[in-house]
Amino acid sequence: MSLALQLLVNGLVSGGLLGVAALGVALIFGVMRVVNFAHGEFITLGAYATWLLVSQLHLSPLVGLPVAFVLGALVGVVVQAVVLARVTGRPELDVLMVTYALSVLGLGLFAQGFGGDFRSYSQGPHGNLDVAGAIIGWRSLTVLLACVAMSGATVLVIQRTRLGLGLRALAQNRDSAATCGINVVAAERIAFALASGLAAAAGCLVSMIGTTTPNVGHDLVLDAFVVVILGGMGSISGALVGALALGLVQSVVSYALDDSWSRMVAYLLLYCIILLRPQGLFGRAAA
Amino acid sequence: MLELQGVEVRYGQAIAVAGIGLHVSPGAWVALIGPNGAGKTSLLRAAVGLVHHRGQVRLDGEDLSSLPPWERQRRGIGYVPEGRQVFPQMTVEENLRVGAYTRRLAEVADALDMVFVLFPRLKERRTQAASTLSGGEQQMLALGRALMTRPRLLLVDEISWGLMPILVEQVFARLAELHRDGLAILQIEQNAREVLRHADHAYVMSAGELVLDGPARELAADPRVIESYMG
Ligand SMILES: Nc1ncnc2c1ncn2[C@@H]1O[C@H](COP(=O)(O)OP(=O)(O)OP(=O)(O)O)[C@@H](O)[C@H]1O
Ligand SMILES: [Mg+2]
Repeated sequence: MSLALQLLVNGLVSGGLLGVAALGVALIFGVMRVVNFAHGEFITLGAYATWLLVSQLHLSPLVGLPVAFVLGALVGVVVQAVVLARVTGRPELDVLMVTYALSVLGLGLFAQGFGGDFRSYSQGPHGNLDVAGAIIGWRSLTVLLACVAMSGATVLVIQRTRLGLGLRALAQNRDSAATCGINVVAAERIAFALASGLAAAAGCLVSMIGTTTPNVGHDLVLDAFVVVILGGMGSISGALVGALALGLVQSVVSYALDDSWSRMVAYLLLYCIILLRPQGLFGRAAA
Repeated sequence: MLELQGVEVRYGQAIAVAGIGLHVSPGAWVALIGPNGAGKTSLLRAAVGLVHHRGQVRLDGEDLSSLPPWERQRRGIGYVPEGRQVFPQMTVEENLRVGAYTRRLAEVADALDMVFVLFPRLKERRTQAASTLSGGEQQMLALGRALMTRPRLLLVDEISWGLMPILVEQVFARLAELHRDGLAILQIEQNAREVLRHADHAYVMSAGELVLDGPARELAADPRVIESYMG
């Protein structure tokens, strides 16, 4: 019983982080039709930013959450305006290569700037909570809570605000959105900034429960892609459900076998989905 | 009010619209007819800014040629595209709210009421996903959505396509009401007989060029038009 609870919490924490990462990937794909391979580098950006705040400025890692969000959003705006806006409407493969190049560039910059060392810190929430024999760290709980709050806020923005209405319109019919008066260029920039900010905020959380390396975000986003495909490309709620499912499965698999299996399980799953989706990964499901 | 001058649209090497000039006076109802592939849709897409074009698109003297669609919308152009193009996963009401995207919140409720009075059917279905509407209802929704933008000029592309005769009549009756209230209309239509009955002026387009134009009443009696489009 306590083991089951432990695995459940572990699964929810990694599923939550995956969910926030996947949310951004889905948002960018839905609105811009861009598969953003560089999404993981925004996570890494947030992780290093938080590590710097904690180790250099001796601030709480929780301060990193809003700081990383703003930093990620700002860098996102610049990347979107300077790089991506110039290639929208080009063939999918071209755009894919551009975001891949951005990712490689980001990886290189992080390795140059921070070296390959494992960065971590002990500040911030600590201690454990004993629930029915299961040991749950306050850190994990904080991370889980932050993930729920961020996903919830994003879903609210998309479902309930005017901005969200515009983004959904854009995702469903670009031309009609434009002729209804939605500034497509601005909306894409906002969507990208929002997704990048979320990724960097997720990176702050990643730095809290693990070690930060140049490819910490990259690894997380590989799983996020699986989740986004699992949930139906571009579907926000689908991505969140997929993230929780994959998080739980991986939590069980890494307990029963070991960590390296959990990645393989993700990609086995992906292969099965591809077989089951003859319309192709980029084909939009009917509903 | 709307003036097109030397508008040209190309897709790669293919010329779809070969330098067309056309005029819609304030409050006028202008028909644009022609065979399939003539370039009618391309011309309208150029007018709203959805395809790159050469030549000039002027609205009340202002050159809109370099403006994107959302800027043209803000200046008073409403667009009902060919093939409905509603937002499938949104409800009827959300679709209409997108139409009112650039309007002040206080005006949206009134605009919704106005559309629901014109199309009571949409009111009954306001919480239903647009993809579950019938073709005719989606056509009404596309028109309603365009009206939510409060256009001064409405560009309509084959709104009667696939509708039962009774619905065609209804749609034209609605357009006639709007026209009476001062809305200018430029309408592409396969149903030449019906549109020429309502329009003031008409243009006939073929293979990317204008081949005829004149008062709608005269074109409706022109043997070439009768033979080709009203058979
Ligand atoms: N996106 C596109 N890419 C390439 N060619 C196109 C595109 N859209 C239209 N065309 C071509 O341009 C020409 C004009 O097409 P358009 O749709 O404007 O004609 P239309 O008069 O509206 O026809 P219909 O009555 O069938 O709707 C056609 O030869 C068509 O094949
Ligand atoms: Mg057409």
